[in-house]
Amino acid sequence: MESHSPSDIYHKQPRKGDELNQPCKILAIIPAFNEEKTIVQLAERIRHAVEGVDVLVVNDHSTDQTEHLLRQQGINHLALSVNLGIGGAVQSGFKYALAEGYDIALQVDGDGQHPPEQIPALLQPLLSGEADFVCGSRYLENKQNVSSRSRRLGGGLLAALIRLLTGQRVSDPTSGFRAYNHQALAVLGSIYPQDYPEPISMIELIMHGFRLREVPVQMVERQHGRSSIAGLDTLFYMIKVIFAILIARIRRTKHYAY
Amino acid sequence: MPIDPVTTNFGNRVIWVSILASLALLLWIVYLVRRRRLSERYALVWMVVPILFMLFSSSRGLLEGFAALVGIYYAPAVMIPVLLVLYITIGLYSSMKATRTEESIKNLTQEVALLRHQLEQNNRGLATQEGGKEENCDRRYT
Repeated sequence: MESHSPSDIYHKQPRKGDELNQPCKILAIIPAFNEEKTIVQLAERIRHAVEGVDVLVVNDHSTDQTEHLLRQQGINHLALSVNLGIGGAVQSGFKYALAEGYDIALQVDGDGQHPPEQIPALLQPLLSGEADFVCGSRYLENKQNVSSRSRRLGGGLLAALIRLLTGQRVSDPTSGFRAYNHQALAVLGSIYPQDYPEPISMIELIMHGFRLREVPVQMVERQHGRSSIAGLDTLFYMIKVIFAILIARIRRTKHYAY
Repeated sequence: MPIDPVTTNFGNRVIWVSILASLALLLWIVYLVRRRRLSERYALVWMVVPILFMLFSSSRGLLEGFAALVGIYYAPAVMIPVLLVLYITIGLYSSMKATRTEESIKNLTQEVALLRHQLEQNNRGLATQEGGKEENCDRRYT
């Protein structure tokens, strides 16, 4: 069925494979909310770290100098006129990627905890066609324990739940360091959770039959700002995500809005 | 001396209290619609509650008949489940509307951002074509 997404005004571009031997068009989406200290530097680092990757910053109605800096530096970006939260911001990037005919889009958090040097590792399974979406995992090779114990416990619980419901073994379902191919983007462009989207979108894509590959990545301590999963909200977050995962498991694909 | 609720005859006092309260709620709803702070559609949904309340308050027979129908011995208690179901339904309906509205706002915000991006790029393209005017065009958006 054809998409009813509002970005239909952007005409669908020819997909990968329409022209032979064309290089893949790759977009790096950086959601940013009040990231004036890191955003310009991050965009530059991504541009230098990976050749041929276009950068799109999605400014989620920041109240600081983020928008000013993006304009001043001429960085390709979308300016949201209402604060949508991480899910809505990232989805704007997906819609842009679909409209502009990108073959692959990847998400890099604006706070600088995802090192751009790891992007090639993230892209590799997509470029070789082994997977439809790739998640960078902090725990896959047990390299790192930057996360707090409770955070790890929560992630482990969600991972166990996803494995129980889908049979898919995952290690880091809350990681936002991800890359998607065009087909996965087409789904995410019409359905993407508003807040805490990572574990929920993961199970939705698995339910749609997309192949997941996790790759080990190193993440750094966030340079500025707080995790969107912190403090007293943690319990509510866990309950909400578990509920959403259970619903996603029993939702029939015809109930998806596309 | 305190009033003894067992020996005092309250008469029809409770009926008048509930009718007055219902009227106040009705008037409030009408006031909100008149000030355009509540749309007619939701007003009608909310008006079901005071109208039902007034109906049951004014007719003892209706209340007792309905209580007997659903098997409640103490007739006035029938109002509790009735109101509970009504208010929960209205609340759920409102949340459904809020969900849809949030989705619409999200989609609109995204579409505006995409359109603005495209517009600025078109303008930049035009400016480059015309040459020399690029600086002017860029300044408009900073």
